Amino acid sequence: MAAPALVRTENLNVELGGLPILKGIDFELRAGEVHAITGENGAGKSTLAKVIAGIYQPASGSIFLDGAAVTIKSPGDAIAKGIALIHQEPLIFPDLDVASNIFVGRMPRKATMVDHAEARRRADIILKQLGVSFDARSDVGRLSIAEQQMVELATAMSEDAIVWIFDETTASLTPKEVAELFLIIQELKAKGCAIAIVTHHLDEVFEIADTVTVLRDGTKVAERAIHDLTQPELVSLMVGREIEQQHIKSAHASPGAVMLSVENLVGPGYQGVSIEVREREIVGLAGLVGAGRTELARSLFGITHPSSGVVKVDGNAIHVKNPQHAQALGFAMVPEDRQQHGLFPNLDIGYNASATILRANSTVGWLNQGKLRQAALSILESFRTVYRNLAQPVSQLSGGNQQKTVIGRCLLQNPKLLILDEPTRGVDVGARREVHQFLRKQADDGKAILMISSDLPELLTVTDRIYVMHQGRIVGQMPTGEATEEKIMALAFGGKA
Amino acid sequence: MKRPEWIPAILSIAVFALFWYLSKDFRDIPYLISNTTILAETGLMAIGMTLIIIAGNIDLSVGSILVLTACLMPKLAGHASAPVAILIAVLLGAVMGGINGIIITKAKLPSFLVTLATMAIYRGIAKAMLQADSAEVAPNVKGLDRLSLLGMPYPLVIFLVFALVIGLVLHRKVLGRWLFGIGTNSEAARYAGFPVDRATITAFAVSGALIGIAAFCMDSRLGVARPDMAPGIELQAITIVVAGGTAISGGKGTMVGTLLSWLLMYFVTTGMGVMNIKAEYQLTIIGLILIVSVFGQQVATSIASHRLPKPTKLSTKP
Repeated sequence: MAAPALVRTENLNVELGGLPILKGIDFELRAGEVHAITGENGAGKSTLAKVIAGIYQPASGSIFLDGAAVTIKSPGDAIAKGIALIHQEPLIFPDLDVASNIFVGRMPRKATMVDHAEARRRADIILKQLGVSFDARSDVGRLSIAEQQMVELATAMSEDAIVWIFDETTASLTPKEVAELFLIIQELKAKGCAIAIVTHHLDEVFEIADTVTVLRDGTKVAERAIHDLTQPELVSLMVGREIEQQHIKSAHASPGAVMLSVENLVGPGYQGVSIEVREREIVGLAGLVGAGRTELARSLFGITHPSSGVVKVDGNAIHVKNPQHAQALGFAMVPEDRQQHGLFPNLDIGYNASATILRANSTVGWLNQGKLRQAALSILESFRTVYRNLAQPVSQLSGGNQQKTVIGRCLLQNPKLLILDEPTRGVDVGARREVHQFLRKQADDGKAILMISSDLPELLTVTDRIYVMHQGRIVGQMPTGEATEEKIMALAFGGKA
Repeated sequence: MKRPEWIPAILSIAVFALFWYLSKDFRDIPYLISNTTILAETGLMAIGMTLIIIAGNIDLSVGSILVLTACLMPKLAGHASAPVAILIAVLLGAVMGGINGIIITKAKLPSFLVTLATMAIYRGIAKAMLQADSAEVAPNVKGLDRLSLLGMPYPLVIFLVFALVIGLVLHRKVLGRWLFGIGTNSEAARYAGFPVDRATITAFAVSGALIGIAAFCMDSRLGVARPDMAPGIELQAITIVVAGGTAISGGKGTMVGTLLSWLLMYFVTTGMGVMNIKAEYQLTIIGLILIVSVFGQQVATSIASHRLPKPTKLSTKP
């Protein structure tokens, strides 16, 4: 701990698209130290890593390297200053061989020609140090993700990096590959490099790190030596905000019959999932990004297909063929990514609000335009959507009003089951509250609602029951009355409640 | 000025006035009406192309579908009656267009690539079948272009009727709505429960059927079919569609735009024809008109909508 700071940030502020992402961060990374940067989704941990690696520029504040104030102009500049960033998804040239990837842009030369033989010789020396099973001639595109990350590591080594930043590097690795990576990190540490790892895996923090910095909503809430800290303490540091909203209660004493029942479902991104959603009930699905929640929702809606297991609707086993079939079964879905999967951005609000009820409002294929218009107007009205007229392109609306349009379109179908994936992401606080109350009203009217959210206060406010997913499996469930953010996070991180 | 169709409309009037002023031969209205028979065939192709482009695709093989249908129809129909010959042509075209649609949706390949291939394949089959030969059209189906209805030659009537019918399908039927959505964001269309594949295949098949009618008109007009006919006609059809305000990126366009753009194209080619302007210059001028029309529409829409800045897209991932 006494070692001098190799990298130091002072009052660092970062804005992306006009929104503050990092606020007044003082961060120190010392030689011979493994420093974990952790926090919830959206806390700003990757942003901090990217600023130090020259990908983002700070709005204000200073960065010191070895005591001297510096400006890190670009990723190339960071590399020149000895700072290496290892990405979650390796940035590689898949069609080139390993040696060309390692020395890209600075291949050794003989006269004016690129000297491939020399590049391969030097690359093989580094690869041998890393103890990998491929050589400099291998095509990078054929390597596994873990091996491609080793190529990134080799690149950084060939550049004599002294500051190493691992940005969620373990996310796509197997446990064995993680162990191998940690061995290399230990070696780098022994050599006196400064190492930062961005992660939200608590077990990794306790396994490899010496120090941990916790970020929450863009501010630094704590920096602790790892041996002063327990896992529950770390979780409460990460979550630790006030629960500002009151639970929106069901008007009914108990939910109705089981509407959707999933038994031991296995499919792309999830395994052995069993859940139930009842009428008049809002069920939450918590977990980290990548826990398999969205994948499960996509299969329920017929976008992808489970390989085994049973889905029952009102007690009857069914196989959802495609979204049209899902709609016929009474399902509606609000997708996670509004821009990619929800909106028709250049088309008008009327189109967007009524896209799911075209067939219901047509006679032998001829649209009943008056009825469609009325339906769109009434749902937008009941949701208090702010817009000028139905002919306005939906892309001109605010995020909250866009989301109301997408949710409204799903409700126009009058579904029995409503699946919502991150329904209030990017939606401002006021609109959020309205969406929540509206969902409760829908449930009280008899709908079954399954809501995926990474926003814990949201789940605690709206739902009746919460399932927690971790690495594709359901790892716990609890009535919302008994749930706390700490309990859910501990399960989501793979620990015990 | 909010509707981009104003641009081809204004350009049509301007070009019409220009040639009216420049050439005595252009001032012959009956001639102007009767001369539409050739471009009416391209117009039929542009109608289907409008559906395809609005749905976010393209069909480069329409000229080859036209030629293969025109070559096969006389062989298959023999001396059958005209309605039977039309039916055969329509089916042939629909099957060829449908094949394009099926490959694009089921193999998930870009339409540009698939139809670039079928452009070669369909015309290649026609060439392999006929070699240097030609297919003789039965006398009973010849001469449609010389028959008229309400003072208009039949091909023009057929073109206008289908422009109206398909225009209504596009703007008043569920299928048309689907095509706009698919062309704007095919993933969102899937989540909204649109039958994306079926609608896309239907657009290609309908386009093929219309090309079949165009092929019948062409056979009837020429009396003989050769595999090297109508070179470059697919580009002319695409030009009409995009000059009429249909966005090449999909999701935007109208049948009225295509119709007005067809009119513009007709006045330009006919006007230059009566003034004996060489074909090489004609091509250059058509290219210029395309640029002017598309650029003009872009300017017009951006002025009309006083574009608000798009909401900044934020990544919510850490």
